[in-house]
Amino acid sequence: MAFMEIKDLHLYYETTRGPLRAVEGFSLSFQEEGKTLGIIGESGSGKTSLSLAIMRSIPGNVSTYQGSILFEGRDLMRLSAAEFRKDIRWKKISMVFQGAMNSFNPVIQVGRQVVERLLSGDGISPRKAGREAESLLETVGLSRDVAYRYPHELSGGMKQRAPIAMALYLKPRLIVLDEPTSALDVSIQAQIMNLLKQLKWNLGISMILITHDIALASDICDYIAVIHGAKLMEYGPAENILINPQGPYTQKLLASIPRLHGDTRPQFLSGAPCDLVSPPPGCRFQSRCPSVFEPCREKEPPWLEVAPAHWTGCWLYAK
Amino acid sequence: MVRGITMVLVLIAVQFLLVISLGITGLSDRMLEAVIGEELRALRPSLAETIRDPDELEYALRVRREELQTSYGLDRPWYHRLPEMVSRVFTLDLGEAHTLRSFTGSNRVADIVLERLPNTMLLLTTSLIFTAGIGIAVGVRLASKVGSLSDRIVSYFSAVSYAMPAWWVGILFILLFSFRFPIFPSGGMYGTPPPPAGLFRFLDLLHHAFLPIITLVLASAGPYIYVVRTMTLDVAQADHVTVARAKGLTEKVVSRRHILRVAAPPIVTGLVLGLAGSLGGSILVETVFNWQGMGRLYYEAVVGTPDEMVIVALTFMFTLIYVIARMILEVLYVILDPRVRYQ
Repeated sequence: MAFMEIKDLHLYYETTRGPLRAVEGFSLSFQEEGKTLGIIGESGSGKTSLSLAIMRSIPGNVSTYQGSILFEGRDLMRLSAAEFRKDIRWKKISMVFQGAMNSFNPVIQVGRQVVERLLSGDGISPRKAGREAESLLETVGLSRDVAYRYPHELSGGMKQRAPIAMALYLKPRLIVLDEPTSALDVSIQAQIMNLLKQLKWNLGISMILITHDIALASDICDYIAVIHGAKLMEYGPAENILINPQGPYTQKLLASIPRLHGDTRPQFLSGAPCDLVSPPPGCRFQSRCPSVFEPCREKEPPWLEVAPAHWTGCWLYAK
Repeated sequence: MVRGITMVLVLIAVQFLLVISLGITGLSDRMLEAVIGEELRALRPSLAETIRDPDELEYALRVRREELQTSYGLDRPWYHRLPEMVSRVFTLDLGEAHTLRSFTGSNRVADIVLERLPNTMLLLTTSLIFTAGIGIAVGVRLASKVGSLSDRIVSYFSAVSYAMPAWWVGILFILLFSFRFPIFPSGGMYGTPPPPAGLFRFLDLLHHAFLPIITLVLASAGPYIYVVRTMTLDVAQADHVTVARAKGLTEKVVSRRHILRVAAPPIVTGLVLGLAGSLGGSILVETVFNWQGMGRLYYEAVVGTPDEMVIVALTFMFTLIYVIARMILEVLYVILDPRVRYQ
C-alpha cells in the first residue's frame, strides 16, 4: 500500500469571472515512507493550493473541493472536520506554511506556540511543556531561550526555523513544507536544507517539499512532481526527472536554470501559464510548447509511464 | 515616560488652546464685562437709596466698576490674565466662581465641580461598560459572518448611530418614553421627594439614569461595533490564524487566543477614543436630561451669565479625565502587546 495516495483532487476558487481552477484532477501516489517528494512549478501553478488542500486548510472563497487522499488506510477527505482535527492535524500530518515568518502569533511567546497543541486541553504541565519547547527549538538549531522570546525578537532565519520545530512537536509521519526557504539569503537557505536533511535521515520523517527552486529540490528530494497550470505534468524519481526529463515543460524548466560551467545559456519560457478560469481545451502547455501539434489543442494528453515509475502527460509519447 | 510627558503636554496644550480662543475672540473680556455689568445692575438700587444725587451715584458706580475691573484683571490684556488663571488651575487652585454656586452654597469652583464629578462618572462609566460589552460581543460575531444579512443591518445601524446627535436621540427618547409612554422620568436624578437613602434611593437613581445611559450607549455603540468588527476581521485573516487552525486547535481557542487577544490593543484604543467622544456628548445629554453632572454644569457656565472660572476648570477636568484614560490605555498596551514593552 502506498504511503499516501492522492486521487483526482480538485480545488476551485470562486472569482467574479467564474471558478478558478487552482488544483485540477491531481492524482499521485507517494509510495515509500521516509522519502521526500518535491513539488515544483512556476508561481501561480497551484503549488500552495495543493498543499492547503492536503492539509484541509482551505480559505473561505473555495467553491469546489473534492477528491480523495488515502493515508493510513483512511480517506482524509471523508473524515469529519472534528475527526480530522483530533486524529490527523499535527499528530500525523503537520505543515510549515509559506511565509513561515508570519506563522507566529505576535503576542505569545514562541515556545508556548510551539507546544500549544497539547498545552490547551490535554493538560500537560506548563513546566514540562516549556522543557519540550526548548528541546524542540534546540533540534532545529536554535538556542533554548528562544522559547521565552516573542516572535518580533527573532531574526528572519530564526523565524523560519521555529515553525519547523513547531511542526515536529507531535512527531508526525508527514510534514508538508511550503517554500520553507523563500525570502532567505543563500547561507541560511543552506542551513535550513541541512536541517531538513537531518530530519529526514535521523528521524525518518516523510516530507512534501513545495518549491519553485529546482536546485533546492534536487538537493533533498527522492521524487519530483512537476506541475503547470493546475495540472500534474510529470512525476517520477528525482534523478530521472532531473537528468532525463521527458515532458517538454520539464525540459524547458530545467533548461532555464543558469549553469556555472559550459557555454549553455539559460533559456526562458516565453509567455505565461494559461488562464485558470477559462483554460483552453487540450494540454495546458500548448501555447508555450515548442513541439506542439494537432492533438495537443483538442484533447487532454494521456498519462503515460515513459520509464519505470516515471510518468508524464504528453501527446508526444502516445502511440 | 516619553508618553507620560506627551500626555502632560496635551493637557497644557488644550488649556492654552482654550485660553487663546477665549482671548483672541474677545470672549473672555466680554464675559467679564457681562459679569461686572450684572453686579453693577444689582448694586444700583441699593446705592440709589443712600446716594440721592444722580451724578454722585454714577460716579460711585464708575469707581465700583473700576474696582471690579481690577479685581477681575480686566485692566490687563487677556494674555496676562488668562495664563495666570491656567497656572492656578494646574495647581488645583480652581478659584472662585463668579455666579454659580454649589448645592451647599459654596462658591469655590473646586466644591462645585467635585460635587458634580461622581454624577458624570456614573453616566460615563456605566455607558462605557455597556458600549464595550455590546461592541465586543456583536463585533466579533459579525466578523465571523461578513456580508451576511445581520452584518449589513448592523453596518447601517452603525452609520445611523454615528450620524445621529446624542442629544437629539435623548429628546426623542423623552418624547417616547416619558410623555407618550410614561415609563421613565424625563429628567433629574431623583424623584420628588427623593426616597430615603438606601436601596430605594439607588433604584430611583437607576430609574432616572436609564434613558441618559441608553442614549449615550446608542450613540457610541454603533461606531464601536464597527471598530471591533474591522479589527477582528483584520486579524482573522492573518497567517498565524491559519497556522493555529492547522495545528488542530479548537475554534474557541483560535478565536480567543489567536484573534481577539491580538486584536485587543486597537479594540481598547477604540473604546478610549469613544470615551473622548462621549465626554463632549455628555454636555448635551446631561443638559437634555437635566442630569446634575459636569456636562450640565458646563452648559450652565456658558449660557446665561458666563462663568469663566468654571469653564476653565471644567475644560481642565474633561481633559484630565481623557488624559487619565489615555494613561490607563498606555499601561494596558504594555500588558497586551509585548512589542511595545520597553527594555
